Amino acid sequence: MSFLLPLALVASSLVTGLIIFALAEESVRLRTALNLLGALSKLLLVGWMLLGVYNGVEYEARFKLLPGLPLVLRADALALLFVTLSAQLWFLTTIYAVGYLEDSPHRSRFFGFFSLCVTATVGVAMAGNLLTFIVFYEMLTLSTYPLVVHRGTPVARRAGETYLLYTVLGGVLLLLGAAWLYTLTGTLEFRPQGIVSDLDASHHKALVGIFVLLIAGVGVKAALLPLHGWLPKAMVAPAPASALLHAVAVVKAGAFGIVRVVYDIFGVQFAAGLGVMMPLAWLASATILYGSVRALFQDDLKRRLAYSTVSQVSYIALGVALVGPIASVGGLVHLVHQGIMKITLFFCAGNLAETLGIHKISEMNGVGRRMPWTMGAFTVAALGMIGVPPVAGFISKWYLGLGAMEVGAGWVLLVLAGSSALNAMYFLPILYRAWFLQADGEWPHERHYPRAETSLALLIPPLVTAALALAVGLFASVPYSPQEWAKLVVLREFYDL
Amino acid sequence: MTSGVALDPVLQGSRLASGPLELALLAAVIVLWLLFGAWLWRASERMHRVALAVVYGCVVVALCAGVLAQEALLFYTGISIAGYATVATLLAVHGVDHARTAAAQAMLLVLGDLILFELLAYLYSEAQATGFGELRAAYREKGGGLSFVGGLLVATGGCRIAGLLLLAPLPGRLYPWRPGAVTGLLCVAMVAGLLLGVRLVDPSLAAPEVWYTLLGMLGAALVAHLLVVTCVLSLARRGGLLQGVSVLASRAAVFGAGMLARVGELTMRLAPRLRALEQRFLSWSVAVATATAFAVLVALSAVS
Repeated sequence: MSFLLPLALVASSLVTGLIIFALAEESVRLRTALNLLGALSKLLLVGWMLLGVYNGVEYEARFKLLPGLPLVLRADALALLFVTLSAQLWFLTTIYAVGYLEDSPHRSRFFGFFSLCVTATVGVAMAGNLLTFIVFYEMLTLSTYPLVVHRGTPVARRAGETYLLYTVLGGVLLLLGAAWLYTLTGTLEFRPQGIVSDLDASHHKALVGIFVLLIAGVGVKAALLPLHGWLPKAMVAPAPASALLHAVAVVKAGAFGIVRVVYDIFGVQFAAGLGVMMPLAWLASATILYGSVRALFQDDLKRRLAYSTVSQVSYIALGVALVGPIASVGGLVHLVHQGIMKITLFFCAGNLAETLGIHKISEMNGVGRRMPWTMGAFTVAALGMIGVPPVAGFISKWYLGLGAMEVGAGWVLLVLAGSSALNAMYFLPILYRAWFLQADGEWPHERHYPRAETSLALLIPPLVTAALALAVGLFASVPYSPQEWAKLVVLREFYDL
Repeated sequence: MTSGVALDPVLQGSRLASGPLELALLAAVIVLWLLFGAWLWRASERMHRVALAVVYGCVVVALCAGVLAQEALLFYTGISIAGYATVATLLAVHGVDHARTAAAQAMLLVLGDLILFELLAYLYSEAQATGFGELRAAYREKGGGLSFVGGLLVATGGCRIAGLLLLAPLPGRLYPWRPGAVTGLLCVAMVAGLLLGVRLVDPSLAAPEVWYTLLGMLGAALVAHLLVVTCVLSLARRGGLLQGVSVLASRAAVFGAGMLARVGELTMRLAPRLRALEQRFLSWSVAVATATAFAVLVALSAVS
């Protein structure tokens, strides 16, 4: 069973995707049923594995691929932190996408790649060595490209080209780093405390070079400065695809990759000894502030959210780069918290676009009265992004702040404060417009729905994720919570428990 | 499962307690809430009542949690939500006329929250706990009043009280709106800043340091207010600036900051405006707020 479960987890979305590709465009019910079945089965499998890993069971599937380089799927605490997030949000995004693309063309293509994208994400999360990681990482690039260009407009195609250019370049850097690493160590296996700690000091420069290549490779998807250029352009994708890019798959795969490289290839203490962690912390801090400043000047709602992602995802890198257990908990838990809050914001942005034709912040006057539930969810997530307690974002920032003090990096508190202030400056005006200003007149393209302010398939997912953002903040320390999982990962990395 | 990483659970296990200090403050909050709630209910349009009830309810629940909290993060949560909900209430009542002042208040709130976050993180690194008892010991350890942590405490309290000062009527038409019924309620929300000083320095109010801290917060509030008035509300005119300074100094006198001699002058200056306010049936709310604030102060003195 410990061999089959990782395979089943990957297969649940892979098989779904392949069947959906074969379906006719008109088979709406069958496609929807398959989508939901795949998402639900993945959710159940993840629940099963969560219980197992929490109680010390090891799940691993290993296949021969190249001599000495097998394809390995392994479920450890870090993998499950990411897989659980992906599985939960995939389920909700599937419901949302079904409603969002109700009358759109090419739905089979969209949902097929949508499923492949989640398959790749699960593969990235459960990769037991760098080779497996790269295989699924590239699969993720190829399966998300069709989602970015789904609309087929010239703007979408240009955005897709930019996306491919950046991510393929990232993949090449990653591959070069992996090859160089293999020549030194003879293995690419992920291990707690890393695989390079046995190398002597003569390899110092080579190891720094490998670190830079690997971090640059995964940093493209994590939108680290200056490799972030693709993310705002990719906003031409439909809202469910944007949600997937920002909260479930691509950006998160990059941030997760940074954690894997630091923890399981170099080992956090060894990397600190190499002198590469403080530059990473500075880079993450610069990205946090840069993303927030750029977000301030965007009138397009999705672009503002995109720059917000550039900023927020770097909290994860910052937490890891501070080389302390509490900061690491803050960074790792933000992997989940940011995902939940950001997907809520994208769902809401999609609802505004789909129901009222609103794409710009300057068009949002009075929208809170027209769509109170949607904007209620948006408000919760926006406050969470600012770091207002008790929403999830506060928990991440609190532990990042405590962790920074623990390792004597008081300057990080200023970065957190600056970022929170900037977040307030670009989110609070949106809330003000939505709730307190009168609508200017007719909405650009208003659609009416009989039962609620918008279609229920579009309304329920953001409400659920907003409630989740509150719940994981209020009950951060209960067993199986993201924070407890982050603690498990940190115990393994820092204390070898 | 968690040996090796000691993390205090955030918010879970937070304790609410009601000693004499808490009861006095709770009574003040509830009296003001009921009074102004009744006024708001009568004055607001029927279609806005639901929204108003939601934000107004948030204010009181969060304030009560903040007042009764025996742990810093619950206190932080309470006063933070109360602050945002109060600004939302004001916007709901006064509409867009209040926008610029609300922006300034929100800015002060965010700034106050961020400084408070820094302060708590700083103290936690010493105390390794978020209970007020442990944090108080850490505050003493880090130097108290004339130190970096003392400065953070004064600044965070000052930012909150400065939000309150923005609501007071000023001569020279500095603000495009007049204070309404929630002024008194906001007093309580902003007094939460003072409460932080009491909690972290000396809850019995016996040590002179707590009074110096509170006075320091009032001073910081005046400075923050002045900065906001000049920078955010674009009061570039020198005459207006001087007028602002004069009025702020007068208000400092009202708060007992050592300028009692100017009270008479202030009264003379404000008399026509107070009469005008009275005619608009607004003055009673300010009067009740002031009376309640004095009652709270008397209660605090009795407790000490």
